[in-house]
Formats: sequence, C-alpha cells, structure tokens
Amino acid sequence: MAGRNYALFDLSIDFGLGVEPLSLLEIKDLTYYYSGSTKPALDNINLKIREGEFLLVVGGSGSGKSSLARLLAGLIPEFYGGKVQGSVFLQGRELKGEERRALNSQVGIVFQDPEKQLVMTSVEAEVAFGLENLGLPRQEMFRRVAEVMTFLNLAHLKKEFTAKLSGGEKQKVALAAVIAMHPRILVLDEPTSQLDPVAAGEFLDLVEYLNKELGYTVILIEQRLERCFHLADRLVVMDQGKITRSGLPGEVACWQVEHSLPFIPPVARFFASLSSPVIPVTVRDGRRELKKYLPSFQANTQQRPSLSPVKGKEQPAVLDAKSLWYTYPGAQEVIKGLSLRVDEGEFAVILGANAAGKSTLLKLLAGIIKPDRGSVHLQGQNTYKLSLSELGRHVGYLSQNPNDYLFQDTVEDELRFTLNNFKIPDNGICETILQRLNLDGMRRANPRDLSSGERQRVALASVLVAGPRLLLLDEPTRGIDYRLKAQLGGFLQEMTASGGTVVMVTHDVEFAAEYASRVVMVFDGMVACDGPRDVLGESIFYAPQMARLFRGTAQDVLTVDEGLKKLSGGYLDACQTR
Amino acid sequence: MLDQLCYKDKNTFLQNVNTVAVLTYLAALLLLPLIFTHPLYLLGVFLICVLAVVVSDAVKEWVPFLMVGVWVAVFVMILNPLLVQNGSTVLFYGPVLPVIGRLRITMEAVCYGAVMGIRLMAVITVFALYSAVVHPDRATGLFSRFAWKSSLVVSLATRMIPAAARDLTNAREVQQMRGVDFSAGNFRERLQKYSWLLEVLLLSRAWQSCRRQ
Repeated sequence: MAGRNYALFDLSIDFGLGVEPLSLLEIKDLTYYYSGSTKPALDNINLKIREGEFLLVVGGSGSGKSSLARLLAGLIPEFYGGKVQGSVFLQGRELKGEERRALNSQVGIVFQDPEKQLVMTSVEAEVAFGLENLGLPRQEMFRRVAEVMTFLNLAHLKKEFTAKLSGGEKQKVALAAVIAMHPRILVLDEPTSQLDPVAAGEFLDLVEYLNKELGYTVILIEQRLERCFHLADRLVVMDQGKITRSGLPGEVACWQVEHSLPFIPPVARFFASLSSPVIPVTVRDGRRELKKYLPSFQANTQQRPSLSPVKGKEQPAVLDAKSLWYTYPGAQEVIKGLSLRVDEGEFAVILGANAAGKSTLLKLLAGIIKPDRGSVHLQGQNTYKLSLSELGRHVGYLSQNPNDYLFQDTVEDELRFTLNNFKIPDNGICETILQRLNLDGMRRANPRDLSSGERQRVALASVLVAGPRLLLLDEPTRGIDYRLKAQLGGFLQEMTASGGTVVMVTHDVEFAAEYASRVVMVFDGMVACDGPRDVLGESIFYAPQMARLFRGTAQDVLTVDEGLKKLSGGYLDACQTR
Repeated sequence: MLDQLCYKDKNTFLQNVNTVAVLTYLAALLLLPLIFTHPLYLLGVFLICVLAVVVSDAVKEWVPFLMVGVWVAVFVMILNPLLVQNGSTVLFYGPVLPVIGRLRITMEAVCYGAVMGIRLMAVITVFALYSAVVHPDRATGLFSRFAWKSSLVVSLATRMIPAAARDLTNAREVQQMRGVDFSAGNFRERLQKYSWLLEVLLLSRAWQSCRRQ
C-alpha cells in the first residue's frame, strides 16, 4: 500500500520474498465462555488478519462481535475471566496464556460509548494517560500528544474538560488516546453508534485515512453500514458466537441477500436483490451500475415543486407548539422561535446535528421543561396548565436510555408502577400492552436481565400503559441492530395506524425513510425543513442512500423496496412511453 | 450545577503557580481557622480567603458555596446557644422545653456559635478556592507519584460526577413522565420517591459495570 508510514510502528514487519505475507494476527479454533455461562460467547473462531487490512465485522445483538473485539484487544480472558480454548498467533508466534497480554501493546480499542472510556478530566491528560502508563520519557510523550492532537484536529480542545465535549469530539479524543500509543491494530467497537451522521462520517473518514495512508490494520464493528461498507477489504458475518461467513464485501452481500440477512447497506442490498453480477457498495458505483438497468436513461432534471411546511388542518392538532424559545441556565439559546404542529396519526421524525436542540425540543413538547416564551398545546390544552400526572396520560416519553425506567423486580411490576402512580385501575391494560409488545412470555423476568431490545420494549410498555395518544421517543434506534429496528418501526407504524401519534428524534435517516410519514429538520434551534418524508430525498447530507442512488433518475425513491418497485414496473414503462 | 466542574481556566496567578505551592497555601488557609478561636483572627483569615477568591476571579463560582455556608453558619449560630447551656453570663432565661429543660441563653454560647459560623465560612471558602484554582488532573497527577492507583480512582470518580448528575436528571424526568410527582406528598413519601431515583442510578451503574454483551 503506497504511502504507508512504517516509521509510526514500533516493530518492523517481515515479508518473505515471494511468500504469502504472514498473518499479523491469527485466531485458531478459539472458543470462549464468560465465567458462569454455559453458552459459548465465541464458538470455534478461525480468523486471519493481514497487515494493513480493513476488516468489517457485522452481526446482530449478542452475536459475539464485542466479545471478538475484546479477545483481539487482549481483554479476554485477562480482564473478563471465563474459559478459553484455542490459539492466538501474533506474526506467526503463538501467544500462550499470560503472553496474550502482549496484544495490549499491539492493539488499540475504541468502544461504543464515548462517555465510558475516558478516564481523565481534561483532553490533553486523557491523550497522555496511556503514554504515562507506558512510562515514556516526557519529551517523547509531549511529541506524541502534540502530533496526534494536531492530526486529529483536537489541538484547540487541549485544555478543555472532556465532560464538555460533544459526542463526536469525545470519540475523537478516545481515538487520539489510542493512536498515541502507536498500536498496529485498531479495534473499533461500534464507534459511531452515538454520533450524528456528520460526526460519524468525519470519524470514519479518519479511520479510512489511518488505514489507507498510515497503514493501520483496522477491525471495525458497525451496525450502520452505509458509511463504512465500502471501506472494508473483507466482511465477516457473525451469528451466535460463530463466524458464519467471511469474504469480499460484494460477495458476502449476495450471500446475505440469499440468506435474507440484513447486514448490508441499502445500495448493496438493492443490487444484490436485482441479482446484479457486480455489487456496488458506494453510491457512486451504484449510480454507474444503475444506468445499465435503465437503457432509456434520461436524467430527470424536472424539479419537483418545493414542499411547503405542512399546513394546519381543520381538526385540533394533537400537538401544537408555537414560537418556542428556550435557554438553559447560563447558556445560549437552544430553541429559537420554533413552531411545530403534529396531527393525529402522523409519524414525525426530527432530524438534525448533535446539539441542534432536538432533545431539548422533545422535552419541551413533552412538557418536562417549560418554554421561556411561546406555548405548547397538547390536544388543545396548554402544557403550562397541565399537572405532571395529567401530562403523563397525554404523552408517552421514551428517553435515550431504557435503563432509566427499570428498577422494579419484574416486567409486570414496571407496568403496574406507572398505573399506580396515575391511579389507573388495571382493567386488562397490562395484559394487552404486554401482548402487543411481545412481552407476555417474560412478565415475571427481572427487566435488567433482558436483552437491549427487550429492555427497550419494557420501557416503552411502562409508558404506554398509561394510555397516551402521543408518543415521543428520543433516539430509540441508537445501538440496536437491524432486526430490532424493524420490530420497533413496525410497532410504531401500527400505533399510528390505530390513531396514535409518534414524534421521534433520531440520527438514523434510513430508519426515518423506512417508517416515518413526516420529516422535520432542526438546525440551530429552528426548523430548517418540514414536510412529508420525501423531503429526505431532497436533502444532501440527510438523504438515505437509495435517494442518493436515484437522484436525478427518480425523485421519490427512499428505500430499497421503492427502488425495486420503480425499476420493475412503473419507471421503465414510463421511460419507454416517453 | 454538578454537570459542570467548577474549575475554569482563567489564567490567574493561583492557577499558574506550581501545584505543590498552591496546595500548601490552601492547606495553611484551611489549618488556620481550625487553630484559631479568636473571632478577630478568624475574621482576618476569612477575609484573606475572600481576597484570594477575588484575585482568582472566582467570585461567581464561590457564590453557591457562600449561600450554603451562610445558611449553615446562621443555623449553627442559632442552634448553639439554644442547645449549649454552659457559660456564666446569662443573657436571659427562656421557657422550659422538653428534653433540653429550661432555656438558658448565655453570652459564651452566643459568641461560640458566632465563632463557629465564621470558621465554617472560612473553611467552605477554602474549598471553593481549591475547586476554582486547582485543576483536578494536576492534583491527581501530583498524588499519582506516590499513590498511583488511589489517584486513578479519584480521577475516574471526579469524571463521573458530571455524568452521574446528568443521569440523575434524566431518571428524574423519566419518572415524572411516569406519574411520580417529586414535589407532592409528605417528607416520608418524598424520601421514598427519591430513593427510587437512587435505585435506578445504582442499578444502572452496577448493570453497566458487569455487562458483557
């Protein structure tokens, strides 16, 4: 790989002339059990990682991806304990028992939650922390910290407290702290799941540069594949602790479509569904490929009439916010004269960058915080005049973290807790909600013992049991896999179909494209754009992949299914008659 | 208040002085009010502390500490003469109260209460000054030379304070939307409601620390 800067590495690499280069890291017949568990977290893993390779690991929740990351970082079994069998080779040399600790110095790991991996209070100390532990001379530490902070564009944040940084900045600091230690392999465990699309894109650009230009070997575990699928040299699919398939991204994409697995970005899924001989993984390649399917291709340059914000209708709105202003104590204005009206049966999604005021807006709409100026009316009643208990019966609010809800001993108790607070008699409502959310089998289980998707459903149930007509959700798709997203999306659509109303804050444009009926984009505390979901197609940065693929060809394609429909019938016919 | 750390880089004299020197200075300021009992000396120490706060441009950060300090000081000043019956200069006799007996307000007890109040204010101001002029990483960095593991734990704990404060706010909002009214009910009921919050926080922390997959 051209431009690889070997000077960054502490160890030189031996490539035998004419011989296949040695695997940098090899895992052979490895099985691992967490202590006290009878089910293997990693089951007979065989994996070779070559120098400079970009490996993308995908799989559902609990498929063993994170365990693999921990194994590669030398945290298993050193830190987590448990039983392990099989061998690990570093550059052909087997690491036995205690020696696996040596992986620590070769592998740097960045975890999912930026909040939980920072140790020190200030940015500079955080980056230097690992180096201090290595016991490097002061001058060397200073050089490395300066270099890394300049490279990652963090120099201006040097003196800042880590608590004050945005999610994207925190994740960059975590990466900086790892790179400063000069590892050879970077393991990234869902590093962008908490970031908005722009910050996530920026982070992945950095990772790409580290791999392509600086020669780092990268092992990336991701759920949001549309931004990283094309970066991978190889794709590994995991399920129940096993590696079920490993190969070139295009190849594995076809295999996944055959086996109806969801871990591929929309563009690849689209072409794999068309049984295309070539599976493009970027929008650019996809657009080139798309032309082959459109023989009479003519760029559709006709501009659609621009969409005006949804106008108020006759019946009273479920939610009507008028010129809201809000300032946090001692801070700048977060919401600046924002108005929003949501009618019954709508599924509205609020998009926007981190710190654009989305979560604040949701809290204002829920009545948790009151606006400095302006008003919020819920079904015609001003939230100022509603008591908290009245609010809770009108609005269901689901925060980012389902754990905030769970403290009772059983799932059923969580539902009863809400009912008791509102003094609502249980006339079978618990039963209905448990069944609707597919929780009736685990009513006696402790909510903390459940999987992440199940916990979220319990939190949702504990809110819905009060019978709110309006549901407000704050980034419910964060860190959950495709299957759980589909379940959630399906449920929310069902809810709106039966007359409920949903307003949701998210970063997940693909989810919005798939399920929402209306899209509101918030920028700097103001509504930048409001309209039916088609507005996503017009956006540049917030457009789903399929919209970018079909831009200029067809305006109303946002999902794979719509693309396939367009291609199989309507659009081709239209082209021919034209 | 807790979601922000008190320290802000303001490039003031005390912030730039060597950490050992600042800590020694603060230790002296802390020790003096504990040694002195004379109200004038105590007032003098308190004034020095206030001056240091002003010079360090930390008045804004000091005010919340001061508010707490004043209330506690007033509380001590009132409570001390009521509860302490010692002293020979009786100012006046009050009514007979259960447990305490006949109320006997003496000048010594009033003076002692006042002295305690000033002492408390001085001590609180020293702590406010500490959090305003000593960078948490520099302090732990200093101690890490001889107590590496302990200072790492302290550093981790310091960093967790803003995060825990945020978690608490979130949990509170969530419970409010589930019908828990934290302002309603008597003291006992309110205590119960807050204990739920604590439970949520502790469970979340414990759960996160042993989560595997």
